[in-house]
Order: sequence, then C-alpha cells, then structure tokens
Amino acid sequence: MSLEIVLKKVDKVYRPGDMIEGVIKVTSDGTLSHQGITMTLHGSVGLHLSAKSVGLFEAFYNSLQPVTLIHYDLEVLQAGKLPDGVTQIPFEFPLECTEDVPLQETYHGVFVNTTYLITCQMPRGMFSKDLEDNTEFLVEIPLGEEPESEEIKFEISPKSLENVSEDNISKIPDFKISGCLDSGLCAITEPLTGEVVVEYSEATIKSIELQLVRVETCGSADGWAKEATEIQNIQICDGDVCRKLTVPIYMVFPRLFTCPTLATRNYKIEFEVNLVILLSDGHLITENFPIKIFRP
Amino acid sequence: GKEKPKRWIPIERDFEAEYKQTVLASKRVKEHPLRLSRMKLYDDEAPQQDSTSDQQQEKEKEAAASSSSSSSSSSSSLTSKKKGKGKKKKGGMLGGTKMSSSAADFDPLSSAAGASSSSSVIDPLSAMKGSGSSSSSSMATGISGASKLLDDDADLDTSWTPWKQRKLEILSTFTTSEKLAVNASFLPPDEVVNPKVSVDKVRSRLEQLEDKPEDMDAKYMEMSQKEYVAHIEALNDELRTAWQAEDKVKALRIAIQGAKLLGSTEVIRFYPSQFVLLTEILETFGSLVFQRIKGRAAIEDPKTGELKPLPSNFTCDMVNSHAKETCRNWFYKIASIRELLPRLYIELAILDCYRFYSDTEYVAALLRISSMIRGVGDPLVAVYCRAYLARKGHQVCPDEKEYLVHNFNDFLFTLRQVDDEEFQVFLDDHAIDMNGYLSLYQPAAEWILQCIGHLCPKETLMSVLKNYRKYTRNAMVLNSIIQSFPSPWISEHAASFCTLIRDADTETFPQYTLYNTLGVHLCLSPPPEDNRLEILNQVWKNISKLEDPEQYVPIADTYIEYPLRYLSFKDVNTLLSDLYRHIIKEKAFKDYQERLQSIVKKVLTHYKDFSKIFSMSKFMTILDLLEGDTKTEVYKSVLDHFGRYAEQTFDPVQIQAMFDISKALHDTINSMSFRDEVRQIGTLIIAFIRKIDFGTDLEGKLNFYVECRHAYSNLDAVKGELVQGVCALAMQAHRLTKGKHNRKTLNFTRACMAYCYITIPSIEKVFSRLYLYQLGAQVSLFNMSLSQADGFLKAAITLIQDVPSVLADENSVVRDTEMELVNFMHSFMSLLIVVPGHPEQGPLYLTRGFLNVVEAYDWKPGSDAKIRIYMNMLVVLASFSQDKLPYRIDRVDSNDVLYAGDASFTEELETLMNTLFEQILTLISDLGEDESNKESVQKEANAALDLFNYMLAHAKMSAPAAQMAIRLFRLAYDSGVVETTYLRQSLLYLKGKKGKIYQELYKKLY
Amino acid sequence: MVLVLVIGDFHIPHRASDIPKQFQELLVPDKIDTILCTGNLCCKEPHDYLKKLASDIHIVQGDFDENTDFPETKVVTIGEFKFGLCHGHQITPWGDEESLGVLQRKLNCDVLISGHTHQLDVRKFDEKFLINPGSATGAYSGFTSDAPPSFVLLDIQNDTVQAFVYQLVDEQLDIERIVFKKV
Repeated sequence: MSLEIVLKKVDKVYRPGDMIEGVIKVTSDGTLSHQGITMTLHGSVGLHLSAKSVGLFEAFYNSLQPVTLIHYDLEVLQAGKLPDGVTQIPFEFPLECTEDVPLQETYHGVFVNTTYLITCQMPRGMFSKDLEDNTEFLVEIPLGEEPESEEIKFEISPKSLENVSEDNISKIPDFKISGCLDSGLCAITEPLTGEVVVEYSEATIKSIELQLVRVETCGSADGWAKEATEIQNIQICDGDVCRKLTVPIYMVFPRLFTCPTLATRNYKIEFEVNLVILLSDGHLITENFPIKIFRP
Repeated sequence: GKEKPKRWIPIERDFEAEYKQTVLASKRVKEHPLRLSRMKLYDDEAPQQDSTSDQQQEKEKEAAASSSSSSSSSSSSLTSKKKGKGKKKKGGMLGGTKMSSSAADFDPLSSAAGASSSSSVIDPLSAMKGSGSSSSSSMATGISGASKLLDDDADLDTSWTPWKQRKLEILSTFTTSEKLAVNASFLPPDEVVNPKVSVDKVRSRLEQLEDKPEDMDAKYMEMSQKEYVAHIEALNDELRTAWQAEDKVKALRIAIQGAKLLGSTEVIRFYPSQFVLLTEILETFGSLVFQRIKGRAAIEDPKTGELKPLPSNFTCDMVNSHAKETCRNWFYKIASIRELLPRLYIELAILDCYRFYSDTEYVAALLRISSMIRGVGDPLVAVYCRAYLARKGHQVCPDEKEYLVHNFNDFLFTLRQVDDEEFQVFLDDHAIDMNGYLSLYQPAAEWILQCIGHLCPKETLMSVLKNYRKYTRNAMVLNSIIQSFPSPWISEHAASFCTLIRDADTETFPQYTLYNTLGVHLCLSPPPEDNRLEILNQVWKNISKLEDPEQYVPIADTYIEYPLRYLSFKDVNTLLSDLYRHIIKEKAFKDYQERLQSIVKKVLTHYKDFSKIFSMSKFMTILDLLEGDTKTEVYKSVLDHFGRYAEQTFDPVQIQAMFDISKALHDTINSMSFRDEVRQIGTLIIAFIRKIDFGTDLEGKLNFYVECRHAYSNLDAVKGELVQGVCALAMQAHRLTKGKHNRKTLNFTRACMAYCYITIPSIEKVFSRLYLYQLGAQVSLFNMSLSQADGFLKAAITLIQDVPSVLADENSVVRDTEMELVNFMHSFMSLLIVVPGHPEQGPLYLTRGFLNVVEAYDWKPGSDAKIRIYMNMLVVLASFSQDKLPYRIDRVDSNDVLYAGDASFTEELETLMNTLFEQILTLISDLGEDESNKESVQKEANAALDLFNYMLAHAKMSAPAAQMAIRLFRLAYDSGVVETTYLRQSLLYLKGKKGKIYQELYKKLY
Repeated sequence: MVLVLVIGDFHIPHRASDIPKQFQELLVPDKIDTILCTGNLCCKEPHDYLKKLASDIHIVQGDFDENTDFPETKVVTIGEFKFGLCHGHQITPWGDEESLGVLQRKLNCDVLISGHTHQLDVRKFDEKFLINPGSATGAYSGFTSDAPPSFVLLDIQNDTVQAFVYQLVDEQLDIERIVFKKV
C-alpha cells in the first residue's frame, strides 16, 4: 500500500508559465478507503544565518521570516474508496506567481534557500496509517534577453601584485602569466571559459587552479551578514606547465550550488572567480575576477 | 609317377589367332564424347575454323605417316631423331594455339569448364604464383612492421594494430626492478563531493594540499612490479565489486585514484606499462557507466510493456529522458573533479556516454580535452594522456582526424620542454638518459600516429609533416610518422623522406631505425619508377657505414626485398655482397643465422629462375655461412624451391650447387633422425634429381647418377629413384638406337645394368628390391644383355628366401607379407616365360630354382600360397609347351625358339607339370583335413574351384582330367562356402566351351 | 549417358615426365563421371590430376605404385555393367585372355579392366569383355620401348557401351570407336 507523486518531467525543472503535470500513484492490495486526498504546492525563500552570525545580528534574525513565493492547496478526491491495484490520479499546477513577490530560482546556499515542494496527503481515519508523499521540483527563471559579453584580459607579474611591497618584489621569482576570461557575464548553463598562458616563469609552477567563490549577503536595515564560500576548485594546470602554450580555462558551474546572480531587498547572491597560481617554492598568487551569472 | 594317368596336359594354343578372334573391331571416328563437349562450348563461335583445323590435322597426319615410313628405312638414328623432334615441336605448337583459342572463347557462363581448362594442366607453378600474389597483395595493404603480419588472428584490417596487441608489447618492453609506490588504502579523502570551505581558509586548504605528499608517503607502500600488477588487478576487481554493490561513489573514487597514479613518474622506466595497467581500471569504469546508462535507456514496448535493450547502433533520439538525465549527472560530477589529470582521464573513460544525449558531441569534447591536456606539465604524462585520448577517440569516431592532428601538434610543441637545459636535472633525478627517456614516448607517439594514419585522407599526412617540420626534428617522432601512414604515400614521397631522415636530430634516436622503417614501406609499395635505384643508393650510403652487425643485419633483411622487387639481380647481388662484408668480420654471421635464413627465403620467393639465382655469386657465398639447423632448413627451402620451380636443366653450375646442397642435407641424416625428416629430405633430393636433364648425353647422366649414389647412399627412396632412372636411361639408349645397339651403346646399357645390380642390394625395402631386380632383368633382356638378366633373376630368386613373413611399415604397423610375395611371384613367373633357358643348365634352370625356393619357403601353416603359385606355374609350363610363347622380346630368342621340338624338354615339362598337379591336389586335400577349421575349408573349396577353372582354361579335357574336374567342382559346390556367382560363372564358361567332352562335363555338373 | 574414363600405367616420373598435352586438352574437369584406373601412377601428380577430372575414382595397386593403399582388385557397378579392375602384373601370362577369364569369373564382372602390358586392346572373351587401356604416357614396358600413349573412354547407355579408344600415334591423336552390348 503506497502513495507516490510522479512528475511528468524527469529532471523536474520548470520555468514560470510551465504546467507542472504529474500523477498521484496509489498502489493497494484490495480496496482502500480514505478520507479524501489533498495536495499542496509551496515555494518559499528561507533565510538562515549561520551560527556564528546569530549572536551579532540577533535583532534582525527574528525579522527574517520565510517569504512565500507560491502556494496552492488542492482537494484531489473526496472521502471514498479506491479500487484494488494501481490507481493513477493526474494533477496539474500552473507555475505562476500567487504572491506579491516574483518567483525565484531554486537555490541552496548557506543563508538562502529557495525551495519548491509538492506534498500529497491521504488521511485514512483512526486505525489506519495516513499515506503521504512529497517531492521537490526545481524552478529556473530565465533572464529573458541575453546580456552582451565582454572579455576580461589579465596579465599577472610580480609588479601587478597588490599586496607586495616594492622591497619584496625582488624576492619574488620573476614570471609573467597572461590570459583572459571570455566573459564576465556567464550563462549558468555554459562553462566558464578563457585561457591562460605562462609566458615565462623562473620558478617551477606546481599548480594553477580556478576557484569559484559565492558570496551571500543577507540582512535588512538592521544590518548585513556576508558569507563567502568556495563552491568549486578545479585545477587547470598540473605541474610545471609548458611555457607559451595556451591552456584553456574551462569550468562547468556546479548545479544546486550556483544560481543567477541575484539582488533583492534583503539578500544578495554574487559570484567571483580566483585564478590561483601555486609555485613550488611555496608562493601563492591569486587574481580575482568578479563575474555575473545569468540564466539564459 | 608314370603309372598315374596324366591329368594335366596343356591345351594347344595359338595366341595370335586367339587375339585376332577376340579383339573387337574398331572404327576411326571424329565424333567422340570429349570432343562433343568441347564443340558445345564454341560451336556458335567458329565451327568452320574448327573444321579447317581438323583438315589441317588430317593433312599433317598423312605427312607424318609418310615421313615416318620413309625414316624407318633410314639407319641413321641421329637424323630420325631430329625429325622426330621437329615433328614434336610442330605438334606442340598446334596444340598450344588450339588450347589458348579455346580458353579465350569460353563462355563465362560455362565457367566451370572455363576454369577447368586452365586447371587441367598440371602446373604447380602457376598455382603457387596465384597464392603468392594474393599473399603479397594482402601484405601491401599493411603498413608497418612484421609484427602485424604475425598477428593473423587479430583483425582482418592489417593497417591497424589493436590496442590489445600493443598493450602486450608495451608490458613486455617496459619493465622495472625498482619498487613502485602505491597508496595503501587507495581511497584518499573525499574528492568528489563539493567541499564547502570558507574562502578565508583557502590558504590553509592549499597548505594542506601541499602537505599532502608527506601525508601520502605515510600511506604509500612499496611494491615490486609483479605485486604492482597484482595490486592493479585487485583494484579492478574492487571497482567491479563496488559497482555491483551499488556503491558508485566508491567505484568513481577508485577510478579517480587510478587516474591520479598516472601523474606519478617516480619509476619512470615503468611508466608506459603503468599507463597500460591503470587505463585498464578506467576502461572498466567507463564500460560499467556506459552499460548502466544503456540499461536505463532500455526501450519499453508500448504494447507488451517489455523492455528491449537499446540497439548497439542507437542514436540519441532513441534514448529516454531518464537515461539522458543520468548521463548528464555523470558528466556534471566529473566536471567537478578537482585535479586536472583525473578529470581528463575520467571524462575520456566515459567519453562514449556522450552518445546518450548528443550525436555530435564527440568532436567538440575531444578537441576541448585535447586542449585541456596542455595543462599537464609533465610532458611524458601529457603524451600518454594524449594517447588515451586518441584511443578513446578512435573508438567512437575513427574517421575524425582534426582533433588528432591538433592533439599531435600540441605534443610536438611540448617537446621543447625536453630540450630545456633544466630538463637534464629531471633526467638525472630519475637516473635516465635522454635516449632512454625518449624511448618511453615511443609507444604513445606511435599509437597517436596510428590513429591519425588509419584510413586517413592524404592531406592528413601532409599536415602532420608540415607541423613536424615546424616544431621539431625529433627522429623518434619522424620514425613514428613514417611507420603510421599507408605505404603507397610513404613510397611515393620516398625521396622527401630520405631528406627528412637525413636532417632529423638523430642524437637520441638511431638514424638506421628510420631507414629500416622507411624500408618496410618501400618494399610493400613501389617508389616512383624513375628514381628507384637512386633512393636505394641514398639509403645504403648511410647503412653501409654501420659497422655493428646488430644494427646492420636487420636493415639488410628489410631492404633485400627492394632490389628483389624493383631492381635487377645484379643489384641484389651487390646488396648481398655488402651484407657479406658486414657479417664475415669476426664471424658475426654465427649470430645472425635467422636473419640470413630470412634473407635467403626472400630471394627464393622473388626468383623462380635458378639461372638468375646462381648468377648472383654472393648467394652461394651467403648460403655457405649458414650453420646447424638453420642451414638444414634453408637448404630444404632451396631444394624445395628448385624442385618446384626450376626448369629441367643441364647447367653444370646449378647442378653442382644443388648437388652440394643435397649432399649436405643428406649428411644431416643419421640413425637418430625422425622418419618424417628422412622422408622429406628423400623427397626433396628426388625432386632435384628429376630436374636434371642431360638431353642426349646419356653417359653424362649416368655419371651423374653414379655420383648421386655415392652422395645419397643413406636414402632408400633416392636409391630406388636412381635405379629407376638408370633403367630409363638404358631404355632411352634402346629407343635412340631403335633396339639396334652398336658396341658403344651396348656397353653403355650394360654399364647401366651393372649400376642397378650394384645399387639394388643396398636398398632396405625388400619388395622394392624384388621388383627392381625384376625390372633390371626386363631391361637387360630388352637390351640383349642376357647374362645380366640372368644375374638379376637369380638375385631375385635368392632374395625371395629372405622375405620375412611379416614386415613393419613406416608407421611400425606390422603386416603379413604373403599376399605381396605371392603377387610378386606371379609377376615374376610371367617374366620367366620369356626368359631364355641357360645354355648349359637347360631351359628350366631358373624355373626349377624358383620352384625350389617356393618349396623351401617357410609358408605359414594353413596357407594356400603354394597352391596358387603352383597353379600359376602350371600355366607357365603350359606356355612353354606351346609352339610359340604368348609374348616375345625383340631380338631375344626365348625357349620356344631355342628348344623348339626338343623332346627331352617336352618330357621334362610333362613330368614337371604332372608332379606339380599331383602336389597341388595333395595340398588342397591337406587344407581340408581339419574340417573344423572353417578358414582352411574355405581355402580348400576355393582352391578346388580355381584349379577347376585353370584346368578348363589351360588343360586338355581328357577322361581322367574330366573326372578330376568333376571331383574338384563337387568339392567346391558341396562345401557351401564358395561364392555361388563364381560357381555359376565357372559353369557358364564350361557351357560356352566347344567340344563334346565339355558339354558332357557340363551336363554332369549342372 | 555415363562417361567412364579407363586409364593407367602412367609411370610418372620414371618412364615419362607427364601426360601428353593432347590428352590433357581432352581430359578436363566436369566431363567424366567415373575413372577406372589400372594403377602404376607411381607418384602423386597423376593422382592429383585424376582427382580434378572426377570425384568418383577407382584405382588398383600397380607393381610400382608408391602408394600402397590401393586394393589389388576392385569391382565397380556402373549402370547395368559390373566392372572388374586389376593392374595385371599378377596375371600369368601377362595379358592372357584365358587367365584374365579366370579372374573375370572370380570377380563375377561383365567387363574386366587390366593394364600392365601397355598394350591397348578391347576384347570380347567368353561373352564378357576385356579392356586394357594401355599406358596413358606411352611408358616403356617389358616388351616395348615406345608404346603409343593411350586411354579408353566408355560411354555407357543402358546395356550398350561405346568404347572410344584414344591413342597418340606419332604425336597425332587417333580415335577409334568400338560398340558392344551386354550379353
């Protein structure tokens, strides 16, 4: 005896205006009496401050209530009986705003969680166990029009480093690393691309890595909390890479951990990329690139 | 005695008259079955032509008849022989043209007949040619190296060496005695799940990363190569087990760890093998993922709901979205692998999974991954990663070459890393020199190039060469390039390749290897016609300089085919002479026996004409350098080749050379030799002997046979052949003189017979000896050498005594000799009929001797042999009683002439016949003595019926004879064991006989 | 119509090097149904040649055959005829019709085929037939140094045999025909 929500789309990804279609699949040995079947669709943004922030921002901690984005209740069946075997009850919800706030992309972050959930319940009276099931679906909000991309060129050398004093420059082995990011505006579905060339380097290179960092900012008039998280770090060069050879930068944005760059009244989600060059003598060189992610 | 009535009186016969009576008249015809079917084949083509040729034939026939009649009166054997030869030639030509026209006119529909016309001619040569050319054409499609040709059971595609085979080559080439480090647990901290580390901690995380080697060291174990291999295999199993247990994360971790180890070049000499072993793990992983997704993609039958697996040639639109999603998730997961090398390798491992959601993704992915490999700093690690890319790419899109060329160019570009001065430090650290180091690249470079070269358009080669020139002059790379492209292209640009080889940086890779690689192509596919000699000269200028035979000889082995295929035998000789110069020093040839064998065999394969082969003075010189088993093998090949392809020859050079070779082979035989070996060598030597043609120089031929007997005395088969050959010689002399010998030819034939007489006793097989003695006697008689004939016959009679009752044949199967012996004796008796009696010892001298031997021979108990021999002897004696013998030999007076009307001879015959007849009767009844012995009784009955038949056929039917005949028939009839058909046939024969007594006899018996 | 090739006494290579070209032109595959061979092939080549002409081959042992697996005598039934086959060296005297007659009765055949004498003939003896195809190569025998090469071809239809006798006389092909019926 079971109840299951089965969505028609396997990947469970929907966009505003889409119809969320599916069936409630009830499997039973013998007839099954119930007290009605109801469904709920609920989408909301939850803001959670990390433990260390709580003390500091107690004031607005309380003010951070979940924001409902969408909510439906539906009575599927009135109390009655279901026949032996499998019963499939189709349902559908339009994915449209029901509240004052616009729909947001599904997102799971540190402070911010945007989730959409469908639940289904079948109460069966005093002596039987109620049947229920729930399933999350994903919402993507396309940007509409595609922004124009702009290439970001860079050239890194001891002189270009910010936190090195004039005196110490001579202590750093000479190098020149150039390259570019094809665009600072990145479609979330496309990889981040670019290239890097080690023009020369006195020191042996140990590794060149690309670090994707997400910055969440959350708050209200009472104050702001900011949390930066490394959500992905991938190596582009391993070992003392061949000089003057163009090495591609290629990074796929991890699903669930990335979403389009977002700024609302009380929270922001932003991304940046660090190019980290690790020399075998222990020097660590980092070049930071803020990027904007959008959903095409 | 004389008191007994004579029951065997020979019937009088006139053989000539009988023949005339029984022979059936024949009519000359034009139409006959063999001709009719020929007519059918071209009757609508040119029937007229045929009739004219027929008329022509008729005319020729008349001419021939008249010329032969005129020449028969001529006594000069020389002129008549000439004429005969002329005629022969004419006839031959006629036959030849007829043959070719009929072959050309064959209707393709009657292909069976068409094919047969050519195959009807026994021509092992053309048959061989056919198979030879087919094998060489298959060779022409291959590109590189003998190893490919060896691998017959692999693909039919000879231009492709499968990884399976390369793998084994690499594993056997790159080994180490050093200890290999392997992570003991093989499961390092979580690498897959995205770490959530605060940016502030980046530094510490990277520091942690830096500390890792130290950290890892603690976990690493030292292993020997063998343990390492076992360890990898265990991991492979572990991966499968984890997968089956649905622990996909663990499976992925094992695969990642395996890929990670590919970054370790600690034991650098082992790296290629390490690559082979570790990619096995990746292959396992890749196929598991593929199969899993494919399983998810099973198609549900809309009617039955049954799941049908995806067809093997599926396209992405056949894949359900569920499987597509699973597939995408795998690629997402892999894209987030932190370290570069595992990320590249794992994506390649599951490359074929792109098929599930795109039909066109491969090329883009391969190009991208190829670029990403640029990030791999260690050039050795990088080139193997490129090889893996090529391997996977070739699996999914073998025709796609662009990414491969891109991939290869990157490799060429990164070769500069090796040239860097600082790189020497790296080599020193790993205690390896540059040659050794670059040799590690070779399998990877060869594999990449093989993938590029396999069925590629010609522009690909041009593009590869352009980039080679642009980036490097590395000889190892050039070698791999030459090796990997189709021979026709390489050969077409042979001159350019010579230049490239000349200019290549050969400091780290030997130039001679390049020439060898080039040579393989040149010998498979012809270079442009106008500079063939020039190319060989250009190559050989460099090769000839090589002093180390280890370097030189293999190349000579490759290049010998070049002059064999494209140049003259003089050029072959020049090359052989250069070879000789290189291997004679310090007896180097002793170490290169197999190579020399290969070279000699190549020469033999290309030249069928032995006059050409022997005109190359160095060929024999090289043959002389062979030793031991190699020598035996090669000599066998030469002899076999000679037997198959050589024309009949009297060239003293060839004869001497082949004679010596045969002699050397013969001398390898000893008591320990295997039977097959002895038989094989015997057959080869016989084939050689048969090729020798002295024309009309019969004495020369006899001398040759004399030498052969000395040389090949250990081979029974050869001696038999020699005796037959010499007999044929004597008969040839007879033919040439038309039987009218002069003193010289008579002496010659006697010398021949003496030769046989001396040779036969040394032959081991007793029945060969018997029949050869008989042959010797016949040929002697024919050539009017009566005393010699006598000698042979006596020798045969004497030898009969020594025939053992059982013999073991070549396979040690023991057999009874009785039947064979009786057959021989019957044949021998037939000859005795025509042999003249002894001038002093009388007409039946030999016959009596023969009978004594028969009497004395230790026949088996219960044998009917003697009965059968005696019955035949009755027929012999009956023949002697005739006025004229059934046959005669020209110019030889037999007993019918010598003893015509001799009363004592007649009496002697009568006595002997009746004695024998009575003895036969006794022998027959002896057989029937023991009635319980069924076999014996059957023999008795059959013998009785035989004798009955013999009496009817050869004896007069007197009253006592008739009585005897009745008894014999009854005995046979009453026994119930004789074939009724035989009884009936015998009666029918009796019925057909003319004469009252026969009819009465028939009535009595019927 | 059944075509039977009767041939033998090749003596290759000792007494002749090959089957005459004229014969080779006539004797091609897919024409002959059965071969009756009197033996003395003496080596492999003529045997291989015969195998190409027809698949149904019967050979008896000659006195100089390398191969000793052939039988002494053999009886083959073709249509209404029973053929007896024997090389003939065992017959005393060689080629004697009375002696051959004894063997014919023993084998119970309608036609007895034998060779050895290298003398071509077709005889009717005691209402039975004796065929000797001679030597296919014209090899020498104990009685002649230049026998004409010959063979016999039997065209069998019901109870009638047309025997075609092929002979090379002075290099010229001579074909004669003899017709006989089963008695």
